[in-house]
Amino acid sequence: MLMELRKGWKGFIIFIIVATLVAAGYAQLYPSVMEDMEEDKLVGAELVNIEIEDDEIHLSWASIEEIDENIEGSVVYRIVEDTNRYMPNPREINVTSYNNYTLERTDDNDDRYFGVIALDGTMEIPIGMASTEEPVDPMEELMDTPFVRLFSAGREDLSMADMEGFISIEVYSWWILLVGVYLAYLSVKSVTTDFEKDRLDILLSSSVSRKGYLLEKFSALSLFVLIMHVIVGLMIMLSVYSVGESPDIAYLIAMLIAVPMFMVIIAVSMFFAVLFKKSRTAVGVSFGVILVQFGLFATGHLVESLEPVHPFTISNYWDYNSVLLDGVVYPLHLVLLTSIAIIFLLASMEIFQKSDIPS
Amino acid sequence: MKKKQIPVMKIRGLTKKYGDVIGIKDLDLDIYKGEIMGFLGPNGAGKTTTIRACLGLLNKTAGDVKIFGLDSHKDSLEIYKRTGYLPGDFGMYEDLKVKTILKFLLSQSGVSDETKMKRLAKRLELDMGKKYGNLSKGNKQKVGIVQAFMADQDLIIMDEPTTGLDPLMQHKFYRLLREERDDGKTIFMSSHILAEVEEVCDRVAIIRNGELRVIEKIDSLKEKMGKKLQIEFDNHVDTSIFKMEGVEDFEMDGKWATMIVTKNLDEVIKKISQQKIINMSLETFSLEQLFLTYYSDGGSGR
Repeated sequence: MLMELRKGWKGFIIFIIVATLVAAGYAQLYPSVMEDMEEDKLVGAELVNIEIEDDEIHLSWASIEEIDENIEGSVVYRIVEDTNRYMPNPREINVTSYNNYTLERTDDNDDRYFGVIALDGTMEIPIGMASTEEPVDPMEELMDTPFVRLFSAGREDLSMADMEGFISIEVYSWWILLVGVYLAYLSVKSVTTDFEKDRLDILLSSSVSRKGYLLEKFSALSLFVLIMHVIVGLMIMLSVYSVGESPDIAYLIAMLIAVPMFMVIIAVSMFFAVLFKKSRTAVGVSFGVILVQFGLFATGHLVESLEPVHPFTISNYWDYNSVLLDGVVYPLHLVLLTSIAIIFLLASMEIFQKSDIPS
Repeated sequence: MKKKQIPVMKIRGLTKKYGDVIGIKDLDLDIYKGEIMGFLGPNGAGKTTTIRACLGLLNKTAGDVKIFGLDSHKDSLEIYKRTGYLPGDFGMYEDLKVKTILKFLLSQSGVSDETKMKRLAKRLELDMGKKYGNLSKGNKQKVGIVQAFMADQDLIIMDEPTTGLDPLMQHKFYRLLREERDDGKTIFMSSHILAEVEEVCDRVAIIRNGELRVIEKIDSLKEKMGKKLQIEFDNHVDTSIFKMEGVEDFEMDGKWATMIVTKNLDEVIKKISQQKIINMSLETFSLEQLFLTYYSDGGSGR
C-alpha cells in the first residue's frame, strides 16, 4: 500500500489541491452572487412607493431633501412611464411639486414602470422607480429553473440564498462528477498500468497474493479519498468562515460521508479493470457508469417516470443535503454503500484470481 | 556430474490452450535439485508459456505441476517464498530509484537482509542510485537478475535471462549461475541460444511448436552438436587427410574447406596445422542447424 501512495503521491497532491480550490472557492463567490441578486431590483425602488387599487395607482416618493441635503430651493418632480423596466422610451406623464401622484389604472395587464426625477432648474436628479409588476424574488425564480432543480437532489426547500444551499448546489451536487471521474480513471489505471507495463509477473510472484494485491490498491485509494475529503471539508468550513458566515461542522461531515460512495466507485472501476484488462475499455465503462447513474439521479428529480430508478443510483445514498439542511446522517446509507464496495471488491478478486495474468 | 536426483519441479502432462490455439501440449519434465536445467527452443516455441503456467501465472488447461511437492496453482504463495523469478518481459516503476524498487521487492518476499542484493548489484555493475526509467535495456535486465537472486531462494526460474546483456556481462552471469548451483540452488532457465545452454547448463530440454522434443544431458548433446569449421588454405590441399571419424559434410571450394566436426576436434586441428592456413573460423551450431541435423521432424513439424 505504501508503494501505491509512494508512486502516486504527486498526482494525489495535485488533485487534492485542485479539488480543494474548486470546493472552497465557491464559498468565496457567495457574497458577490448575493449582491448580483440584489441588482435585479428596480433602481431606487425603496424610495418610490406604489399602491395599486381597483381603478387608481398611487405613487409617492421621498422628497429631494431626504436624498441630498445640499439641494435647496424649489424643486419639481417629473414622472415618466414606460413598458420596460430599463425605460428605453420614457413618456412624461406629469410634473408636480408634490411628493405624490395618482393616475388611472388601465384595463390591460401589461406591467407599467414609473420613474420619478427631481428637477431643480439646472439638474435632473433621479429619485427612483416603481412598477405594477408582481414583486418577484430573483432567488426564487432561479431556484425554479430546471437546471438548478437538476442539482438540488430533489430538495424543494433548498435555497441558494443560504450558504448551505449555495454550497450544496455549487459544490456537493456535482462533486461526484469531479472526483468520481478522476478516481475511476485512477483506480482503473492503478491495475491496468501494471498489466501494460509488464510489472505483474514480478509483483505477483512474491508473497503477495492476487487478492492482497487488489486489496492494497483499494485501501490505498480509499485512504487517499478519506484524506482528501477531510482536507476539502475543513477548507470549505474555513472558506465559509472567511466570508463571514458560520462554519458549520456539517460541511465537513457531508464531505466525509461521501467516502463510502467513492469507495464504491473505486471498487467498481477496479472490477472493470480486471474484467477487461485494458485501460481504455475499463476507463470508458467506468466513466459511463458514473455519468449514467448521475444523469438518472439528477433528471429523476425532474422527470417523474424516472423516480423508481433512484434507489439504484449510488448518488441517492450520499445524502449531503440531510446533513447540510437538517443535520441528520443516515448510517444505513453508509452501511449500504460500504457493502456494495466490498461486494465489487470481492468480485474483482474472484475474477482476478481465476484469470491469466496478461503479458 | 552425479547428483542425488531429488526432483524440485515435476511437470506432468502440462497443456495450455489459448482458445483453440495450443500454447504447449502434454509436457513432462523433471528438474532436479542442484542442477541448471536449460529450456531451449526457438522464439514462440512455448517456453514462456511453460514457465508462466508452472508459476501459476497462467491457468493450465490440463496437467499437473509440483514444485517442492506443492501444487503450482493452489500453493503458489508457498512456492513463491522459495522461488526467485525473472520474467522474459518485465517492467518496473519508471520514476523510482533502482534501490527503492529492489528494497520493495525484497520486502515483498519477506526478506530484510540486503547483503546479497548489494553484493549482486556490485558484481553486475548496477548503479542502484539511478531511476529505473533512465536505465538502458541491459541495465534493466540486471535489475531483473538481481531481484531474482537477492532473496536467496532455493529455486530460480529465469526466462531468457541474458537478453540485452553484453557478452562480457553474459559471462559474469554464467559464473554467477554456476556458483549459485554449487551453492545448492536449482536453476531453470530458458534460452533460444544453443551456445549459451551448452556453456552453462547441466541438462537441456528442447521445446518446439509447444511440444517437448528432447531432454538430454549437456554432455551427450555436445557429442551430437557439431561445430562448423571453415579454413582457408594457402594452397590446394589433399582432401583425403580429413577422412576421419568425427568429420562430416566435408566440402572443398577452391582454397576454402568447410566441414562439420562432431568429435576428435583435437586431431582435426592437428591435421590442419600441417598445412599453411590463411584464415579459419569455428562456429557452434545454431539451434536450427541442430534440429535440421539431429532432430528433424520427420514431417510432423513445420
